[in-house]
Amino acid sequence: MRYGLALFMTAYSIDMKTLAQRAEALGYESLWAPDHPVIPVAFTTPYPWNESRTLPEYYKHIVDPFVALATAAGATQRLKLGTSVVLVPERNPILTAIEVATLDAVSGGRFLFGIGAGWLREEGDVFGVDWKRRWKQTRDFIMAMRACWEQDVSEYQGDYVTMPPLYAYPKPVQQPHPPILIAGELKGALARIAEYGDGWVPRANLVTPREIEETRQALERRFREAGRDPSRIDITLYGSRPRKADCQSWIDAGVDRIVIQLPVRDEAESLDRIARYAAELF
Amino acid sequence: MKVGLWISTNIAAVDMKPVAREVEALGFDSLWVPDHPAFPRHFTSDYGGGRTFPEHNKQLLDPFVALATAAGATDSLLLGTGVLLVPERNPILTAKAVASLDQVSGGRFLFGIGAGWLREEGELLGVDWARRWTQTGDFMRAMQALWAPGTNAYEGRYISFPELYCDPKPVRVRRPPVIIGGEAARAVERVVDYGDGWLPRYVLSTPEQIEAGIRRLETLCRERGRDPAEIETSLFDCDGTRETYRRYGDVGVQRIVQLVPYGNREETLAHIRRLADAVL
Repeated sequence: MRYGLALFMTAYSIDMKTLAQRAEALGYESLWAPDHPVIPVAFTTPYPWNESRTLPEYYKHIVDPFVALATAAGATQRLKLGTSVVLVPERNPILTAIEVATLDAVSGGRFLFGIGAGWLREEGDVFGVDWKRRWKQTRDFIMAMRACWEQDVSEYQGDYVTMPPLYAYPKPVQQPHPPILIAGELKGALARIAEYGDGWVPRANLVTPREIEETRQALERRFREAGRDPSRIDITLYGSRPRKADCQSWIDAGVDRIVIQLPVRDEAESLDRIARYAAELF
Repeated sequence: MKVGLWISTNIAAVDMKPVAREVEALGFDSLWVPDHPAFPRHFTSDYGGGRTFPEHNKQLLDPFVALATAAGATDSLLLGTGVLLVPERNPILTAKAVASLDQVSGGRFLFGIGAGWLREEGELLGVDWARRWTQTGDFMRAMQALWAPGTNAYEGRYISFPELYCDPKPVRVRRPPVIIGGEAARAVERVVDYGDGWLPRYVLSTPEQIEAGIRRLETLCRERGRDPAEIETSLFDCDGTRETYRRYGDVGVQRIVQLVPYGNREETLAHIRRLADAVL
């Protein structure tokens, strides 16, 4: 099984470079970085990912994911580098396309483009996201990015983006573009993955092994219907506990990769933890 | 004299990791990269000075990603944008990327800024072209608000936001050095307003003009209560002779950012070694 680590890098956590080098040496397959450019002080949207519905403090303090992963690219040779996940509608799609392609180029084709549309409405508002239609906006932005990645002279016209003919370079190393792995609840994600994605990033606390199996079958069917190659489907399970028994249940369900989210700790404790996880899992 | 290198980041010319390692190993103090996020196919804007914009510079890496890669591959090299086109990017995202790059590099980022010359590119990315330096000033003040301790709101002409958490802050106190290009009198005023360094171009500046600019920087600093010693003058490119280094050093230039001639990846590394022999 391929195991990845996700780090919320802050000024008080282990740094990306040190973690990336040790993770590669220990045999981890990938390193993942989340995205929240800012958190508004005043917000009422409930945090969706734990039972207390309270936003962890460190969400307010994380570095830019492209900068974090590029640092890891500069310090490693093989480690795959993924976003978990980039909030697509919050960023200009032309600039995002160039960042993605640059990261793929400098890393020699090691980038995995995890995407989402965000859950924190007040954050989206800061960046002018059309909140109620944010997945529609995300789709439009991804189509504009594909024009940047796939066309010699890129041009696109959509509901949210107008791009006159321009040179968008570099092109990604992975052709036609790095895998697009889509987060979000299953109902909406299925159609999006079938249309413009290469895989799914479900959260371990919000999905069951049975749902993973059913989703893969549904995706395979949709890929065949759309004339796409079902062997390319990538299901990345995010946030498993670092326990053999937990991971075995996801492996049995057929996931392609398991990502463990590191708690935000200093260098010594983080290095100790990833060595212990490796000893338990590999 | 400190010596940095400026390099075109066309993917055909650079592999960032070995280039950054070589530049550091040879003893240069800094590595600088340009910024053109997207180059319009059709444009009528004048590059200036009767020059033609080089074809290879229409295809550049994203500067933050390129410099972060260099940060991961080096230990002490300073890493600069030469220059980042500030009004073309959302300043909140730029503030975050700048602070992040300063964090991952352990305080090695040099924030060279400009407002751009290519109107068609600016307009594509939402620049108010005729007032692009006004917009740049507004964006720089917005970034300064986000880099200040605690949570901050900002209300400006081009950007406003409510009170936000935006951490981490830059490693350096206040901000990474903000280095401003340009030769006009306004450029020097901007340096004193919201910058920490001046980056005039050799082709447009005699030693006498640089000296006059530095005198003006000092006068403006005194008027506005800044310490002139906080401000560093770097010269963008020159003919690469020791005589020129001496002449500009004598009038107060503290760093020369030498342009690496364009070539394929092998030639780029050879050019870097030759420059080290000539000027270090």
